[in-house]
Amino acid sequence: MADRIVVCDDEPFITHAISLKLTKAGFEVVTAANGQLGWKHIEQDPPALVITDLQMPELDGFGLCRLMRQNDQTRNIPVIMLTAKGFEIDHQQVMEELKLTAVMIKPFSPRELLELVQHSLGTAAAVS
Amino acid sequence: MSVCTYFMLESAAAAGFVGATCLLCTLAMLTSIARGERYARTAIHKSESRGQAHPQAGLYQSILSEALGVLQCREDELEKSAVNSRELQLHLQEKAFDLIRLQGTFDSLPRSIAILDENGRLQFMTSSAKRWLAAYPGSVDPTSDTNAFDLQRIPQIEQLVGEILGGQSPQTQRVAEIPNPHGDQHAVYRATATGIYDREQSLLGIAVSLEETGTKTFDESRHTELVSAVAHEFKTPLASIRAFVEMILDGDIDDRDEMQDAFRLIDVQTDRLARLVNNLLVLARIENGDVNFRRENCDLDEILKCSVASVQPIADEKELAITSELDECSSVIFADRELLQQAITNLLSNAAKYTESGGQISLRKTTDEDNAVIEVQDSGVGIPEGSLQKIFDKFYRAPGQSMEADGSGLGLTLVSKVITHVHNGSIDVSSTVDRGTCFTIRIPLGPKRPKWITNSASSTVSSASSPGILLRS
Repeated sequence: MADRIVVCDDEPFITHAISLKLTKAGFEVVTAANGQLGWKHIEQDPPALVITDLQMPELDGFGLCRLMRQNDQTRNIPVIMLTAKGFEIDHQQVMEELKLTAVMIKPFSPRELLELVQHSLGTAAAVS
Repeated sequence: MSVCTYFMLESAAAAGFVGATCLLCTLAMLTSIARGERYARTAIHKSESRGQAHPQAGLYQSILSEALGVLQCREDELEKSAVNSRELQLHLQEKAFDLIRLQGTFDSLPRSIAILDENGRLQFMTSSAKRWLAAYPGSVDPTSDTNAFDLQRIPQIEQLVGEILGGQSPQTQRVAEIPNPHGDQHAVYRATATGIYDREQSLLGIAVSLEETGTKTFDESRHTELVSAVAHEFKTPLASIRAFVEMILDGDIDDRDEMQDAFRLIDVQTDRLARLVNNLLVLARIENGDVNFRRENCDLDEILKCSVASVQPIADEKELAITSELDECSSVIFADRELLQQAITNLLSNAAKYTESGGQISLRKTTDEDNAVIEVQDSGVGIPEGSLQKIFDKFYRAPGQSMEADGSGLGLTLVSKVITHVHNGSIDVSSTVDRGTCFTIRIPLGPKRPKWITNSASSTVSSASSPGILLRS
């Protein structure tokens, strides 16, 4: 059965692109327009991995990660954060604090994202 | 003379001693005095007989007395006019005090004010205006020996004043922004020129006021924040474009429909980038006090109809109903057609963006005494009260409002600047969360109608139609 991935971003074009890339690579993808909606999907059926934008309405990427880290069901799910913020945040600190797998800066490469996802889930060989 | 002699004799006798020499001396004196008396009598007699001998003496005398009479009259009049002049002087003094009080009042205002006559010549300036102008390079006319200030050497003011003098501007008020002449490049002054007209609508003068629009001292952190916000706005559409281009190149998109979709998305995002660049440039122009916008007399209804037409496809896609309700009055305004249409379109597409499918957007135009009033109302998500004040700030997004594909974060800032700075209008917003938002724009109507005509006309013609009738006449 394909690994399930939840993608949260308020840019519909971004979620569309990621969804397309990951689906072609054999993953099952669920998209959400903000952290709040994303959390509902994650809580209901904990996915294999979460890709989330940082700046989102309702609940941002930081908030979503904190929620996940407080819940036993979602505590250990790998999270990849996408952000358009470059030097404004200390990526190392954020990664450690929220136990992020990786931070990707927008504009990002879907190809690199896919590789990162596959690496995180240890499925690189199987899918490609 | 006789008294003198008597006194001399008496004093001599009283002395009780009269020397021979002394006596002789006294006698000689007496003789000479008596001779003098006689001479005087003869002289008087002679003059009297000469006077009687003149034949026209009577005439002279009557002329003299006539003249005396006239003189007396004049003296009375003089006295009267002296009283009048004192009163006039008091009155003038009172007026002078009034002027000083007025000058003091003007000087106490935070704005610097200058008054020009109907030919654009400087008549009056507040002390702050003098200081301001003295520091403005080139504002002192070198050809004038009095070192007179020449307000019109400042290009922004020259254009404002020129528009009013030339009657080109149908409005009485025009606004331009002038970069601070005092070396600090980040402070901007707003100059407002207001035509002063008499009842017959002929120009009496122009009042120019200068106001510092906030002390925008250069703030490094604010600058960084802004650059970072601009970069963020660029990155978002760029991210979509990059993602899709890479996926096309990688062969991830093989289906013909998917390919079509991808190209459409790239097209939309490229368009968004282009608009962002354009908006930034227009904003920079407005903020730098650029006054060279192409303002002309335009038909507002036409602009509104074009704006609705350009938003219609988005509305159709989201199944939103756009109703437009324009009153009968023809609304001629002095506007930069392209910018104004862009502003109205921004408001309409904003409304479409924040309104759920099946919702309503209405555009309404009414006309009051001086303004065209445009309302853009939606039945969308609304704006929380705490955010209402900030929505016109650059890159501000109200919490809870999702960032849709076509948002540039500059839309409302630009709308507000285009309305207030370029068109001397105003923009207000009211909103109820989950009920919708209403933007109200007021733009001065033109050509300028005399106020007193409007007032008298409104009593006989219904207020809704009177401005239109006056405009057509």
